[in-house]
Amino acid sequence: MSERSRRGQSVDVGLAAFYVVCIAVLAFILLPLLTILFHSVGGSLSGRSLGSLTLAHYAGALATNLDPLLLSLQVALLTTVVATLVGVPAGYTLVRYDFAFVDLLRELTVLPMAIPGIVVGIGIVRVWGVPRFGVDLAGSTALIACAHVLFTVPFIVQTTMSTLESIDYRRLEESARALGAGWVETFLYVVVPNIYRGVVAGAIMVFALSMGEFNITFFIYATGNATLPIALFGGFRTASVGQASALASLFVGIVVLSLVVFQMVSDQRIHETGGNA
Amino acid sequence: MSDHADDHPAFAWRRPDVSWRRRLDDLLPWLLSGPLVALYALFLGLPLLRLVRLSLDDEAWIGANYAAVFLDPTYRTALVTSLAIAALVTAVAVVLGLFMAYFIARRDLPGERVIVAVISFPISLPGILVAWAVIVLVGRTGVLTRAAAAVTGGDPSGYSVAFGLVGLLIGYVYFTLPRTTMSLVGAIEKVDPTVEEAARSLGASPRQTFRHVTLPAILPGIASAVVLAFSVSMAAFGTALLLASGTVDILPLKIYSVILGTYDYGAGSAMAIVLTAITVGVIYGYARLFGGAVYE
Repeated sequence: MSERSRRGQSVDVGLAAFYVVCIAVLAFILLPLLTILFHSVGGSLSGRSLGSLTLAHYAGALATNLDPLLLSLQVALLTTVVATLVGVPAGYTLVRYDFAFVDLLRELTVLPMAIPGIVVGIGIVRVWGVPRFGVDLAGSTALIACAHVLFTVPFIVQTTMSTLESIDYRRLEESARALGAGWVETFLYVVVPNIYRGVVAGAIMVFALSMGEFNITFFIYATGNATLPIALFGGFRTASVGQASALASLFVGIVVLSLVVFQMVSDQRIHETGGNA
Repeated sequence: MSDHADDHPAFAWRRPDVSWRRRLDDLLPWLLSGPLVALYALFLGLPLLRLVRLSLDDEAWIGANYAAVFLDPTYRTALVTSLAIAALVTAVAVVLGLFMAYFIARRDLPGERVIVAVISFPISLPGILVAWAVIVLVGRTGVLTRAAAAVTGGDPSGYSVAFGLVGLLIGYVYFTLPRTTMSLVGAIEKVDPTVEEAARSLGASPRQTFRHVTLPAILPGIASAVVLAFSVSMAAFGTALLLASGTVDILPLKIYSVILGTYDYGAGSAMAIVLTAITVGVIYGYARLFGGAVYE
């Protein structure tokens, strides 16, 4: 009996320690975010300015960073559209067809996630920093968008592949084609509706990742087309704590919004993927 | 392509242009994946080739830049520091990630969705934002800095650790922990809880159950989390640029300072290729060993 109760006790201690670690981890994730939010509305830990909550930091941050914010939104939208148009057919091909090099291609698709952003950034600048093949992309927004598509397209390819594998697309396709539908009709009216939700979820991740991309963009942007993360980097070094925090909160807000939409269209979790830090 | 309904002889009458369609069907995979292949070739393949060529470009001999990466003390220090930091961060993030993943996968808690949302949130944050989070946490006027100073009555500046090794480690754990956690949640959820319950009802302690039942089953998941955390930590740049530029010599910062400071593309691109070989190597090494992808 005594042994039993002792075991019961040690279990409780272990469980308590377990909960303490978990709650500490959650606090570790949340505390800085809440602090940034607190600073952004004029809160200060010295307590003197606590009574004067203000949106002035947001106004200031927006006034000085409106262009980067708008540029980032444009680039992220463009990236999402292009990455989806490039990634869905490619993902479909990689699952659907058996052709030479298909296994190699499947393995190669994750490369933009596996290669450090700084390496891709420096490489792209060395190749596209001068006019090549008759196109001059140096420092252009188009080059930033191309780099973002490269960086995010693996997410679309992966989502498309795993969604296709989770439905019985072969039987659906065969039925459609046996009924006389050509491949275009089959693809548009049978495959696409079945993978639609998965692809939309992937596209939202792409949007959030493009908004936050820093490592590659840092090497290829020109002074006129700094994206929001580049502006954040400058802001953290030069702006006041309040303004930098307002800018950071704004960014956190965009990411939260993307993730809320993601949760609404998909019951998947944000998986272990995610961008370069 | 016998699984194509059109190709079946029974349907040949319906498809007078069958040879034309078959040719299109054969071309289709190339047409559909063409844009992706072009994108990779132009913006990944060419840049990497260019870096390889730059790294081999040396007056002395072809491998001189690579020899320098491993032998020259300044470059070697950066490589070793990077490996050590990545290993330490990986260990912390995987152990804490196991706690969190167990918490999410096995405890039926109210608000589990919220907890998952909170923990997976930093995955989508850019590295520089994580750096700012570290600064408001343990910077000169950070929350924890002030708290520590208030408790001990010391000078806050003594507890300001954001800029340097400690800040770097905190930031790296901040962005790797969500990744390891979410990777491990998937692995733990695949373990049948009734097997664990059976072990418990046979008298095994929670620790024994974990050690002998759960752990062997989730080992591939742990390996995947290790690979993910390690490669992300090795590759991280934005966080380090803000927190440790000039104080902690890690490989990405060294590449940056060598290339933009001294325009030494030979040494810089050799380091970049070594870094790429490490991050890509662990990911493909995992795929070879465990037969699955780290990124799912």
